[in-house]
Amino acid sequence: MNIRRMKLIICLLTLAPLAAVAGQSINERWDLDARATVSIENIAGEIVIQGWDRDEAHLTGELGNSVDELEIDASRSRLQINVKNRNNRNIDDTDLKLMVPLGANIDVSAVSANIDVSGMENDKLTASSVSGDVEVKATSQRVSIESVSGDVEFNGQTKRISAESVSGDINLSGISGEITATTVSGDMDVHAGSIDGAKFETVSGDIMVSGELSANARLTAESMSGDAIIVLPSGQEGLFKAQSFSGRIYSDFGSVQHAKHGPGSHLKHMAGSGGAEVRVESFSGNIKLKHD
Amino acid sequence: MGGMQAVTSWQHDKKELSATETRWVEKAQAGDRLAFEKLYRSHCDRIYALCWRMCGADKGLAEDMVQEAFVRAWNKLHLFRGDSKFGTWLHRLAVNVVLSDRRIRVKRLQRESEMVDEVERKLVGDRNVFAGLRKDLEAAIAGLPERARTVLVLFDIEGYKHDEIAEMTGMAVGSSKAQLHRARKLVRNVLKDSEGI
Amino acid sequence: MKESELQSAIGSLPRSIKPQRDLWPGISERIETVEKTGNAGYQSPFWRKPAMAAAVLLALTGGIFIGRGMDTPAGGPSAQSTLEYALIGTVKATEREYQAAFRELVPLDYSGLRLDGEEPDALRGSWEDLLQTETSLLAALEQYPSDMYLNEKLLDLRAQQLQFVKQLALLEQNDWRRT
Repeated sequence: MNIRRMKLIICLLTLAPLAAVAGQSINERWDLDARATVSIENIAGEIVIQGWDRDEAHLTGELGNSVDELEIDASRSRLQINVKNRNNRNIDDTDLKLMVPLGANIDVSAVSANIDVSGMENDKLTASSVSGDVEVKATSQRVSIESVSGDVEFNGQTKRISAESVSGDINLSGISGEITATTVSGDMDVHAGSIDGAKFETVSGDIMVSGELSANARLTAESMSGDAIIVLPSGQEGLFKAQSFSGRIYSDFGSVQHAKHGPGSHLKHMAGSGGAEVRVESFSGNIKLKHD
Repeated sequence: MGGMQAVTSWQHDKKELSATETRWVEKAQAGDRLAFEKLYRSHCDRIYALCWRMCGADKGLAEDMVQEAFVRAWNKLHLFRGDSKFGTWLHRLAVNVVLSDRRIRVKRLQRESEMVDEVERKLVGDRNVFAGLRKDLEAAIAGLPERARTVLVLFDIEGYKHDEIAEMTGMAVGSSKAQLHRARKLVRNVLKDSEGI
Repeated sequence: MKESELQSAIGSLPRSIKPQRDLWPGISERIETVEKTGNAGYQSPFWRKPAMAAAVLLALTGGIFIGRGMDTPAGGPSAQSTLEYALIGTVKATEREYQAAFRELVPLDYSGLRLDGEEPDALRGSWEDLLQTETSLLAALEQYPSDMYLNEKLLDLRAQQLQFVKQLALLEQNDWRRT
């Protein structure tokens, strides 16, 4: 396949006076393969990406006053957009909206910009912001979404998702398969279908997970001071293990034991048969294993 | 009365400074650290009083908060556009610094016992006619639960309105009013117990 | 006393109090670092001190995975095996190095990260949560030093703290790229 690389750099400052740059509007189109790779990088403002039925990308939006250059690297199989600001103080918002073929793979990153992705039916989707929120509605084989202090949200279908935030909250729904969600102080709220493997980890946030385990699935939830609530079907079969140092354990499955020597309480219960396993641990947070 | 005098003289000083202060602010915004130091000297006591009371009379914590507030002010100077007085802007920034510092919660539990001595030490030598009552009052305020103390200090001492307090603290306006009511009641109770008033 | 008298007394409290020491030198030093490096807002954050970073990594990766993933016995001390003693020994050794290296990195200074608004406060809040957990865990371990579960949790926490530091270091690197 012959791929002709076309590098297009829109230089906004070199020739034009400052006044012409202010609030510059963008309107660009490129032909793009149905399964192209699209990556976009912005610092502040907003990045909105929507999938559509055309083999084409359409970029619209408004560049902030601090933008020096909108760097675009476009070929049929790959579109790369990079917003470059003049310096690092006083960065203005740049709001971008990008329509892309719904099968395109997405990689979007921002510093304080919020990210909103929807309408994708693709293979791979990666979105990360430092302080902005990340919101994705998609059907994607593999999803990775993260923020440091912003919230992270996914609604859709996926076979493998990794979600991470340090202080922001995580909201996932419609997911199944392999799930990883990690926070330090943010809460997580996960509504899953059939889980093959899941790991939920937090320090002080609360964990709320509902779903069902497939045969031989492993679900692990670990918290320090946050509470962990796992809701599973009442007929869920498998091995249930829970342990806490000073938190209370409530369980619809099996009964809670208190350590004969030393502190803490734990639970170990085999429901029915089967190789699934649920393991929930906390330091001081409460643990609830419930059936719906 | 001694207390009223203190307030009046503070206002008088402030009027004298406001003329030159605009110049200092402009210089500081251009990077002049000496000008910023002048701003510091001018506002430091005011910011310290705010931080000290909000931190429950914790000297060490208050000192950290004051430094943090001024460093943050330096970093955000370019955002000050002169819509309000510099002191007002700085004051609000300091309130936000204290509110967002969670160490207060942990530290407070640890230092309750040290607090009363600290307040006594601080007020030794104050010949104000309110001396006896003032010491007890500071101690009573410092001993309030955190949210009640925050609202009382911001409303009754620093002069913020309830909607401003609500915005800064993230509580509802109704909660701010309720906390104020509670704080005043608690202070009255503490004073009743200690002085037999 | 009457409510009006109390209000009057509160309103008369001085709005200015002179701090017991001059706080300017501390402030000046911090803003000076900003100036010196010549980069807007950049200041060498704590995790950049190379000796400490190396010590932290060593302390936390050396032997940290001994005994991980095994079932914590429900029974008491009588159930401990050689592996479990090894775990406790690892934790103790790790802790000594950790206390020496990592602890000095607090208090954290985020002003160099060029984040604005609430982000540094949110991060500081997360770090404070990590520290609060550390305090509670260490207190619990003081009471039950041989408790397997607690020892495992402490190793988990150290890994989470290290992860936090690494994430911040990455943020700072990315900041550099954009300069």
